[in-house]
Amino acid sequence: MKESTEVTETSPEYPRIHEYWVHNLQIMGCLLVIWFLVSFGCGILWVEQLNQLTYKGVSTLCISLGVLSLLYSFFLSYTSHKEENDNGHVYATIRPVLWGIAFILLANFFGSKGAEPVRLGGFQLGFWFAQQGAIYCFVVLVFAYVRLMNKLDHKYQVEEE
Amino acid sequence: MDLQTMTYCVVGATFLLYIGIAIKARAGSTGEFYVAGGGVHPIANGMATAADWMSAASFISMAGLIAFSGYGGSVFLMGWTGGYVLLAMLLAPYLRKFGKFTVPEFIGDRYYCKTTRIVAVVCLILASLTYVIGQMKGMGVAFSRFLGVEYATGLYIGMGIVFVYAVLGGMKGITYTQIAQYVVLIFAYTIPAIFISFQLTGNMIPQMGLGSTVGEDTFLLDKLDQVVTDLGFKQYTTQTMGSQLNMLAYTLSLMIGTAGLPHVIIRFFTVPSVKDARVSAGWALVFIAILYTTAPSVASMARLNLMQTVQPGEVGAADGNLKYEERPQWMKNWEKTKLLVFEDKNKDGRIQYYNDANPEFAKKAEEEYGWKGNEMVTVDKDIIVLANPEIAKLPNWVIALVVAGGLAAALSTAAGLLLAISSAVSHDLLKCTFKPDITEKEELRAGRWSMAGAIVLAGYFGLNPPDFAAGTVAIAFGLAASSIFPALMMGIFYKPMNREGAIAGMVSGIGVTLLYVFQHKGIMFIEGTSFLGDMKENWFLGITPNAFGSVGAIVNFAVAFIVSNMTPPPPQEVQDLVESIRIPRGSETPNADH
Repeated sequence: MKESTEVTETSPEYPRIHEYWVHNLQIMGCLLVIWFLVSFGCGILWVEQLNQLTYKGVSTLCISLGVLSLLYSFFLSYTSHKEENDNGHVYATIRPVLWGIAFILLANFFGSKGAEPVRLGGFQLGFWFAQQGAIYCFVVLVFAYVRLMNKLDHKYQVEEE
Repeated sequence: MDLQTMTYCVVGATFLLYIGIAIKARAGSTGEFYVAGGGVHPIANGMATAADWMSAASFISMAGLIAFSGYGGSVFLMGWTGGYVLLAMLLAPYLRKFGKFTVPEFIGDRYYCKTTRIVAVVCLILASLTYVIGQMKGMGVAFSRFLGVEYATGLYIGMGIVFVYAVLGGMKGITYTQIAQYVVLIFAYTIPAIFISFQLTGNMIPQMGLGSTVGEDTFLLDKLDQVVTDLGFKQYTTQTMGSQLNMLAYTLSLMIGTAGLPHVIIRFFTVPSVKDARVSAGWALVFIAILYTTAPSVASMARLNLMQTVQPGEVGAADGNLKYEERPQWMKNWEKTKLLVFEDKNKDGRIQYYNDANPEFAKKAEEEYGWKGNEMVTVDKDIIVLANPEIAKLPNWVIALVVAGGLAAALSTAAGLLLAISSAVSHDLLKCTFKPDITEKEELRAGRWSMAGAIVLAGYFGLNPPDFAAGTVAIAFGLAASSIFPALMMGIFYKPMNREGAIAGMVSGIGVTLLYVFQHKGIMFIEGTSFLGDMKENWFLGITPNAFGSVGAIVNFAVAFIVSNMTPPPPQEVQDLVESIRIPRGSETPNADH
């Protein structure tokens, strides 16, 4: 959205209001991406893939995520080497390692279940998203939006009396 | 007590309640008439919005549609709920901040021009009136069937009741009646679902029952897939509605139609603040989601019950099918309405229900089983929800409650739509455009007269319906999606959008949609006037007319964008207005003074 300085908001508060608006658009954009992914994505576009997703597939996914986290932790420890190692930094480099281990354990767990398709009870995954999951996600999204916006209003002091 | 008396009692009691509330909460000022004085609690408002939103189509038709279209029916579930995410994030808080009565008022002020306002009024009336005609018809059918009167009489009763509480009560009355109606309709929908889910799967919660097992270790959905494919139908969980593109377009059209329907938007003018407008959309979605997540369970369980009633034994076995003489009472009841019709084609005294449009299976059925075609020749999808409690042999009071629920759904939506129409006529056309010097009292009177006029007009179309049930609801969404939603959204999020762009966008969006619908379904739905026929071959990219609102909306956005870039930008004070609605601070209660 192009909002150049031609706007008359010459008041000293204008830059703050503008920042508020940009921040608002970012929140909205993120939530709408999720909105799209759960409904049009999981419910329609990838519904067949989700219906056929096997535990083996999930296991492969977890392994790749685990490997990525480990690589990321190496990258972190390499770049932060020169800086002083306070507790925060140690924690920051250890966290991806923990994630990596968790993912690989999960991969092991799912891998042991074989090539069965993933089910939520009797639901195939894609079908569940289309007829149940998407709706639950919508509800969560709207309340998340309300919460984030109330915080944002407060931060930029634009809330109502 | 027999069913008829019970129905009279339950329906009568709920109606007394609605009318009592409407009279108690009578509107005294224009502020109360249009937006309930702007003082409705967000949870109460969410409930009223939910009742306003869930029409006879949601309550009566949707589960039946899903029962016969399986996974393809998901477009309704996602489309009619996902729109609230758009509404909450893109429109509700900003329109509440703007702080006026009506949708055309925003469009008129934002696009600094009376012509835009009039174009918006026309779009609004077209969309709302088509929708209200569908409700009137649903109400007429429901009244006539359950009170045992003729269709026309049923329709007059419905018109009279809407007249009393919408015309006298205004928004304040409607809001509080709608809360009562929501309670009635949600109980009416969930109680039978709970009973049936428990009977079939042993799980009390229908949403979980859908994913549970029937009998030993077969899942309900697997069983259903098995049962329907055994009779030549498409697999329930993978059956689609047209192409993937059509499903995307359909869902999108329903979503943006939801966010663009004026009677829903108007709801967010009734809460005290911008903050409340946001959270109220959330509550509305919660209340709607209760019904919308129950609907797929109702659908699949009803389908399974229906299939197993007709085909209790093995497919192809001599005694595998239900004997016509031994059919259950509910079938006999519905046969009288002609919405369920049997025809013993192979004269074996048993009912065969299978997919004879599937050539492979039809051939096998004829050669191996001696079946001569599907014998359940008519099974109207709309009877599923109403017949459901009878199929499951639930007590009479549950059946009576379902009738009351269906009527509550139709009445509340009709009232909300009528209010949107009346405010557009009296406030936007009279007070602010053609006759600015009328007093508040005269404006109120004009509002009530235009409501009465709309009821009569809708009643007339309801009496002579040129195929106006499902087709109208779809076109109402398409019209709202292709005209009002884009104009509102660009008004808030795209500051350089000007009046030329908005007018061109609305006119071309609604024009393209109307043209497409009319060319396939007939001009004003009159049979024989469709010049391209309702045939798959003529569909643009395989998109059905019902789903075309999304294409109309895209046309609207594109045309508006191009035109606005070729014409001068909006004046400074309009840009300041846009700036001011973007922040919640300084919102006021709507009132009639300008």
